[in-house]
Amino acid sequence: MNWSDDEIDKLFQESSSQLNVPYQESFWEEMETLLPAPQKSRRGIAWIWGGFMACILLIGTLFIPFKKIDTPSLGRVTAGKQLPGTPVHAMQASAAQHAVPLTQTQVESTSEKATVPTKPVHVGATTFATLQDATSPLNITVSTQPGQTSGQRLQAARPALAPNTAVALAAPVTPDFVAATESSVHEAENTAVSREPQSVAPETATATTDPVTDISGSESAATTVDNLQALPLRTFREPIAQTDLLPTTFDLLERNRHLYIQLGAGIAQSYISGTNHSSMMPTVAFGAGYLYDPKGWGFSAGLNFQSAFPANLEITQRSQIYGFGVTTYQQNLCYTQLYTVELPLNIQYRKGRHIFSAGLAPTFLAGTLMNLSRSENDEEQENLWYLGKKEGLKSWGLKPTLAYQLKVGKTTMIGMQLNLQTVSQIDPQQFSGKHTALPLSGQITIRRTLSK
Amino acid sequence: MTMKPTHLYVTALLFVFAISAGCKKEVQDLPPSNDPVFRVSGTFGTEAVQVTAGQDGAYMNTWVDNVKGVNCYKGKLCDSDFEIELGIYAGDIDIAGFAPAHITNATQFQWACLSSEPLVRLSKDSLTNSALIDNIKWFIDGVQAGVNDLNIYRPGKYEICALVKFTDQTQSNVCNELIVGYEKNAAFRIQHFLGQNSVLKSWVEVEAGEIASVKWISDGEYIGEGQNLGTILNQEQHIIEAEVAFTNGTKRNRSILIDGSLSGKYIDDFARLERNNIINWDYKAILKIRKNGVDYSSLNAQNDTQSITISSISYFGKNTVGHPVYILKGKLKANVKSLSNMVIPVDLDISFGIVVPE
Repeated sequence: MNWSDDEIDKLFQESSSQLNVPYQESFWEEMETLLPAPQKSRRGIAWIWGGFMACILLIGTLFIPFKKIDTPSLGRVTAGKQLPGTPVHAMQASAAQHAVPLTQTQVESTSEKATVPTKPVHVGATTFATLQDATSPLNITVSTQPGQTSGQRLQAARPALAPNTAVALAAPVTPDFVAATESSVHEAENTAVSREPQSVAPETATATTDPVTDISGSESAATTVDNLQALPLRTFREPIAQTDLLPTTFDLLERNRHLYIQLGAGIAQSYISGTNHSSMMPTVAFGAGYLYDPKGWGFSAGLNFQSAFPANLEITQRSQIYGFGVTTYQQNLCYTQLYTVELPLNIQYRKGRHIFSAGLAPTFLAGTLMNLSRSENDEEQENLWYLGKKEGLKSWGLKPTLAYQLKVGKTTMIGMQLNLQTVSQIDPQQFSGKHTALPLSGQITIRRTLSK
Repeated sequence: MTMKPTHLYVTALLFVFAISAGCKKEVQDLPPSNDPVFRVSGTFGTEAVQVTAGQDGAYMNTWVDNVKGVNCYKGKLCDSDFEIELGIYAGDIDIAGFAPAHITNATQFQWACLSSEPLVRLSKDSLTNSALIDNIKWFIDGVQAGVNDLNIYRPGKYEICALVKFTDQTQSNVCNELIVGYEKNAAFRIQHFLGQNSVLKSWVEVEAGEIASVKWISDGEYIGEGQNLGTILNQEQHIIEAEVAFTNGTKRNRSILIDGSLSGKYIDDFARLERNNIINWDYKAILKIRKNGVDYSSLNAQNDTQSITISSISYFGKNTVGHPVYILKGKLKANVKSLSNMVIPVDLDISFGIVVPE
């Protein structure tokens, strides 16, 4: 059944004339259910990541000044705001936050008086004298759903009110849309409900104006149509406009700023190449960072931990002690793993799903896994493992990087990067073999952003 | 299960702390290399020679040798081709104990040499009652070395025993220690007189040194003290022994055979036959070389004008048996002679190890 707006309006007129909703506390509870569920605070996560990424965030704020957005936009909680010309108000959380004293007023009805404790209700910029007014079908704005007409929305709102309606009518009200003339309908629409506590004859209606929310700006007097007291109704000269509520998701960061974690694996040129060993060494890395990833230019800053597995990084030390004969001591220090901390700082350019970046990564050799074997006159005396030794190795380095990443999902990127270690990581005098001056390395990476 | 940021953060921190802190155990440094300690280099005849302990399998051996009852402190450095042995003889062997300062403070060592003449001649005919002696068998350290006559050419400390057979076919045996070719820090002889009433009078006649004490022993039993002894003997033969100690530390024993029957079957103190040294091996050096399988010795060669000039002597350490070893550094010049009478001059710079007891 497709109703026209006029028919719907008339239906509202008749309904409101019959409406006598006594106040109940459960109204607030039901209103609570209409409100969106509060989001989990992410302050705990913010504190944890803040400690870990404090320096990176600081760098980010230096390059990207914070910009306040004045207009309602996605990602913000917006309280309902009454726009000029639109009589619809959003009711979100505001009603429950305002404590106002109760006042009593008499709600005018056709057959009986009902004293309903009411309190002024502030909804957005609008103040309603009574809950009734605030919950009037004419003043209710429900959560929008795409595709709903205004009538459907109002129809959806009605069940919240209907069970609590305590209206006793002297006579059933049968809306007679045929008999009602347009003029009488309009007269009935202009009848206002009395706001003041006063006795009103059933047959009479006091036409009063709403001093606060006279949206239409016109005063109207109650009239009687078919012995039914028509309540003054507001005139909807403009179609009801619904403002779609924005998603109320409370994000920690704005859309283009993310925290990420990253895994990588690849190979690198060995610092020393020998005839008996491979000149390449595998590497694995994992890290995290901060990414500013808008369309076009952006940047990232991270903290990576890399483990490399050299095959021929060995120091041989010999000592000969002469006495009655000679005792030859030999000590072999063989590095099997190198642990490096890197701080990659990259500038990137994103075009669609493709991300090209370049940057610099200071590196620090945090530790090693080393095997020490000691022999005396070519007889092995002991074989030990050491963690953290750096004999013959340099701690600091600097790696320019080039990278390409492809966004394969909302939060996932895969890519590859090339690095060049520009600072020698070893003391070539202590290692035997050919020294690689500028070792090149490559990695395949998988990056996942943590924010939506 | 997805990894929460909290887990990643904690894992990363643990990773950094673990690898940065590392194991606190320190890598022990190797002992620093040093230069070779024992080596010789120079010429052997016309050939250049260089032997270094620890190179090419060369090793420095040190030990104490006993040569004719006298200690010789030796060292030998050898490789597969060349072997050199150097020894220093002890001195003042009649004084108990050893004074290492004679070696460690020395600036020069002379070469020990042999004498063409006997250092000691023991003969039956040199005894006063030789007419009553049929023969004397001389034993040196238990080994018969001669009959009636004994000539000793090599210096040493010998235990000489005389097995005397008298003309009445009775035998007697008397032994004495003889120091030959070494310094005697005291000189004495035992004299005796046996009277008709078998009263024995014996005394110590000092030729050098100052007596500190004398103990008399008859047939193994203590009978008295003092430089002079008076006792009564029976009609049999008796061994009278005197233990003489001198104020300079010298300690010697002398024994005589006395015939209580007064039949003339006695043996005087033949130790008095120790002659004044014509050679003296106290703190003398000896050099032995083996090259190409041929042995050479400095004893057989003329080395009156050669010597070892010492630049330094320092303590090195202890050898495998715990004897202290010193490093002798200096210049060695000597002539060595083979059994085939080939004489080779040797001129070496040495850094040599020998044992010097404490």
